[in-house]
Amino acid sequence: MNTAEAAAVASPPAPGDLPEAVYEEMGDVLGFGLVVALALLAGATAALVVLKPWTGSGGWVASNPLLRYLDPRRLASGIVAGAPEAWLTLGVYALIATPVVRVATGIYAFVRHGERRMAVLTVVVLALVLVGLFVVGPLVR
Amino acid sequence: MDLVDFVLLLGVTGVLAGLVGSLTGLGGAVVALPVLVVAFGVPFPEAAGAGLLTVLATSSTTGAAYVRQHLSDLRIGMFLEIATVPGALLGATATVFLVRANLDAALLVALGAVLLALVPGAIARGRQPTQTVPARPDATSARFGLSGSYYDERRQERIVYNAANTRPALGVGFVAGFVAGMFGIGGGVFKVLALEHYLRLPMKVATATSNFMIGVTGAAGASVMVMAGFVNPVIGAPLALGTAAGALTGSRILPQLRNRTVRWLFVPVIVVLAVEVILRGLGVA
Repeated sequence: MNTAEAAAVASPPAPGDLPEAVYEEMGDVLGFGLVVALALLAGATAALVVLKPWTGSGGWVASNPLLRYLDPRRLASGIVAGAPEAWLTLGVYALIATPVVRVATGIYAFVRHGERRMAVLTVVVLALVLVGLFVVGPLVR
Repeated sequence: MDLVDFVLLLGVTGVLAGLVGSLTGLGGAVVALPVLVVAFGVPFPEAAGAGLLTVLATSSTTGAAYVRQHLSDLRIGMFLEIATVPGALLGATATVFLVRANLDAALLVALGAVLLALVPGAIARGRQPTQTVPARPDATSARFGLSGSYYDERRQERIVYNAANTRPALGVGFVAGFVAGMFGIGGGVFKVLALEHYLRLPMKVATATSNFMIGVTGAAGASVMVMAGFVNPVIGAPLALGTAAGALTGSRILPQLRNRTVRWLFVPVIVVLAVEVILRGLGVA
């Protein structure tokens, strides 16, 4: 622990600050989700480069491989078959899901610490995000 | 360009974008998006989709770091997301329809003009002393307990703050979400303004909380853009990986910086962003 960190520890939180555990949990959720998402994206990108190194970038820009895997069944079969594009799509979904899971964690944290108003407000935020994922998104497809 | 070169260059672009995005609270897309269009020749819809992936990577990376440093205010972030998420959904949906109607150029010029109009205010605030006295909370702020504190390493003291003016902040938050969803940028320009100017939070808390919120806003926008076919993972993945590395570096630098230093990083990035989007809207860039 350096001098600055020691000083921060010695300075007690102000009344009303959320407990240290809430910050730790939230940081862990974001950190874990990010590691999973980036591992998927990095692995799939590396596989794509190794398997198709000399394909021109223009083709990849013009033809979006994610469109092939919007159907969950095709995505699942692509993942099982080891298609890098399917794994890339899974990485994109993991990246999008990370902040959504963070919101869900927030609900649990606020309920546990007796902050009902904040818990209700966070439920509304989660509901709005889910409306985007499962209602608005499919409507514009 | 070969796929190998393409991926490497996108990764380097992502590193630079993540660094700037995390230090300013703007999100890495403000740098990445114009570079994709101008240097890589990526069409605007795919650039916007990739921009949202960089936004997500930046927010989760810096969000985790800032949360552990207690710089992000979790209550205030959640509170403003009530406004930013519907804004993002509406903005992304509007983009889908406008792009399909070939009407995106005029909106790019309008966005650039709005950003340039914000610059004088940002410079003036840079000359003012940093907020040190806690603002008087309004009724909504008091009801939801929108207050907190953080330990300022440079000043070596604990800074206590309260949120004020919550209603106008929600309005700006909605605009921030709309802009984020529409253009695939983090909308941090507006979020930082809502948090600092209206809620009267210290700059570091405003920047960190903005980064924290940007992820949820980005997820809402991305959910629409993925379905519309605007998110291309071959472009977005290397960019997001680079952005995460740059954002992590930036989040470690932020606690040691003076508040004014962060402000002066903030202002030129707005100018560059504004000029880029105007040139793109006019078909010059």
